[in-house]
Formats: sequence, C-alpha cells, structure tokens
Amino acid sequence: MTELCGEEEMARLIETVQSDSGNDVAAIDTMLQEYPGDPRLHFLRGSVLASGNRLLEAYEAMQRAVEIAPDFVIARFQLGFFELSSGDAQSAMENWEPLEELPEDHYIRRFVRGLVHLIHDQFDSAISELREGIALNQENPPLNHDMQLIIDKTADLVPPAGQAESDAPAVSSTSALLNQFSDPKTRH
Amino acid sequence: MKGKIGKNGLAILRIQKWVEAALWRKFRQEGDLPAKHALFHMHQPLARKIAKEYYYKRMGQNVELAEFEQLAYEGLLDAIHKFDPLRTVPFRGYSRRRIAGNIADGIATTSEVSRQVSTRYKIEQERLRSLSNIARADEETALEQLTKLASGLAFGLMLEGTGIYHDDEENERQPNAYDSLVWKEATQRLAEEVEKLPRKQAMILQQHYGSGVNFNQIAKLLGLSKGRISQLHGEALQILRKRLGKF
Repeated sequence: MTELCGEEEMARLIETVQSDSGNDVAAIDTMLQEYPGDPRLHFLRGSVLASGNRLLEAYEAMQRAVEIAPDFVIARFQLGFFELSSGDAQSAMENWEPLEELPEDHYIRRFVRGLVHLIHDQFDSAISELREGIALNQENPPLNHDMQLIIDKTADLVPPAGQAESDAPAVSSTSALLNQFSDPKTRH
Repeated sequence: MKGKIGKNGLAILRIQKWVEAALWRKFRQEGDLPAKHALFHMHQPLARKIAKEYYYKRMGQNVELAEFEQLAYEGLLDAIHKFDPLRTVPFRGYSRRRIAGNIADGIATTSEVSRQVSTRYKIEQERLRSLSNIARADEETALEQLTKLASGLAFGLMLEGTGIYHDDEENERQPNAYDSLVWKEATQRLAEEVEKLPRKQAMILQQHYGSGVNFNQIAKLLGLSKGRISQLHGEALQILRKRLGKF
C-alpha cells in the first residue's frame, strides 16, 4: 500500500505553502520525493501551480491526484472545474460522472449537477441546484463563495420575461476559485 | 449528463488564459491539430497587426500588404512550432519577435517588385489550379466545365470580399456599393453553407479567404500536403456551387 504523508507533516506543509507568496512548489516537491503516491500532495501541487498560472503543469498534477485516488472527491471536482474553465465541457462531464454516485445530499453532487445544467444553458435549474449545494455545504466555505458568484453571473443571463437573451460577455467568476487554492486547508 | 452544450453558460466559466493553456497542452502533448489551428486563429489578429505596422512603415516601396501578411503568418506558424509553453514567457511576446523577424528577413531577401507581382499572382494561380483539377463528368461539355470553374471562382471572390470571417475590429469593412440587401443575404447564406462543410474544408476557406493565408501555410497548419489542400479547396467550392446553384 502506498505510504501517505502524516497529518502533522501535511499540516506543516500547507502552512509553509500558505506563507509563501511566490507560489513555490519546492517544499511540495521535496515531500513528493518521500511520498510520491500521496494524491493530496499532487492535488496541493496542482492548486499552487494553478494559482501561479503554471496551468499545464497544474493540470497534470490534478490529473495525477485523481489517477492515484479516483475517489478523491474534491480533486475530481476541481479537475472537472479546471477543464470547464479551459472550455472543455466534454472532459469535465466525463471526469464528473463518478460523482453522480455520491449521496443525494452531498454538496459536490449538487454543484456538479448545477454546473452541468449551466453548460447546457439551463439557467433556472443551474441556479436551483447550486443554491441547494451551498445550503448543504458546511465543510468548504470558499467553494460556497465561488458558487454564489456563479449563481450571480448566471442570474444575469436569465432574460427578463418577454425579452430575448442578450449576448453575455465572458466573465471569469471561476477565477475566484483560485482563491480557494490559496487556502488549501479547506480541501482536505 | 446528456444534451447539447450551450455557449452562454460555458462562457461564464471560461477563462481565456486557461483555454489557451489547454490548447497548448493538447497540441504539444497529444499532437492535436484542431488545437494547433485554434492557436493559429487565436493569434492571427496579432500577426495581421504586425504586418500592417510594417506595411505602413514601408509605404511607397511597392510591396503589397498581402505579402507582409504571408510573412507574418509564416512567422506565427514558426513561433507555434517552436514555443515552449512550459516556459514562463507569454506566447504573445515571443511570437511578436518571431513574426517581426520573419517579415524583416523575408522582405530583405527578395526583390520587392518581383514579390509584389508574385504574391497575388501565386494566390490566384493556386485557386485556379485547385478548381481546374476537379474531375470532369463524362457527359459534361466544355461550356459546362467552364461554368463550373467560373462559379467556383465567383464564390471565392464572394468569400474574400465579404470579410465574413474577420472577427477583429481592425478589419471592419466600410459599407460599399455592393452592400445591398441582396448581397448581404447571399453572403449570409454562403457563410451558413460554409459552416456546414466538413471541418477541414471549412477551415481551409476560413483561412484562405478570411485571412489570406496561402495553401502552403494552410498545409503546414493542418499537417497535410499542399496538393491535398488544393484538392479540398476545389471540392469545397464545388459543394458550395451545388448547394447554392440558384445564386
């Protein structure tokens, strides 16, 4: 069985990463040499790289985390979200498929459903699922904040009765998701 | 998770920088040609802008804008091939140097007048050859064959003249005498039909008529031979002719 980095070591690492403003992954890489099979380290690495705009490497790290631990829910969710932000809805939905097996009252399941409605331009259903997800989510407050931003942007897309939809400008509410990368404690 | 993916919802979530990073990953790591084409398309406005800058600097020296654009596209393609997306340098700055360098080198190496004559001539000859090579039906008379050729060229002129593919503001056309309602309707239908063409054929028409990219560079972009591009171009115009025969 793959050896995982201890809780205390992980907490110290997260502290180091949070205090380092330069998006440096050196500390994580050192830890990865010792625990190459720890999916949390790969996920953390991906998050830090993404916040430093090293997006190709970030994606690989996220993918690696999910490959090692297919049941790592938040990593799978974030990998899909990464793909959505990259305009690749098809890959996102494929990666999210296993999350459909989560219990009905799991907030991630609701977020996934909401986002899938959103990419199908089903705005009312999207808003309703995302709201339910927020109500259910007690363990990951930054994610609630980001989903609320998406709800707000989606509400702008819903045309007032009797009016045609206008061309919506691209907005980057997802960039707010990066905020939670800078708070990796909430991911685990 | 089924159904048609929309545009507006996804637009909320999309971040341009991430989209580009994904294209680089697909092109570099998976050799994905549509990703390469999307990157070329994404940075084409910059190439055109640099071409124009050089063109205006050298006004009065008998070098046409199309020549600068060809050199700019060549530089852009070269930059796409050589760029390392893992480096922290942004592609825009990197490609700007390559594009400008290629224009400067290209203009210097050949006599300007001969290039001016040859660029336009070469493009027209490429198109003509492409259409002439379409297989002739047995029962077809020379006149029918000529009609085919002429209508193929006419569609080419329409595609080129409408500017329907230029999406950057710098190339917005001013209305002219041809911009009548009938003309607009005709070009709109033509654009719709181009959209329905097989992906590669639509891409060829888009690049060739929309941006003036020659067959040689489109061949490099799509990883096909120049002959194959010529063939696909000819076939595409013939399809348009059949579908819009009542024009």
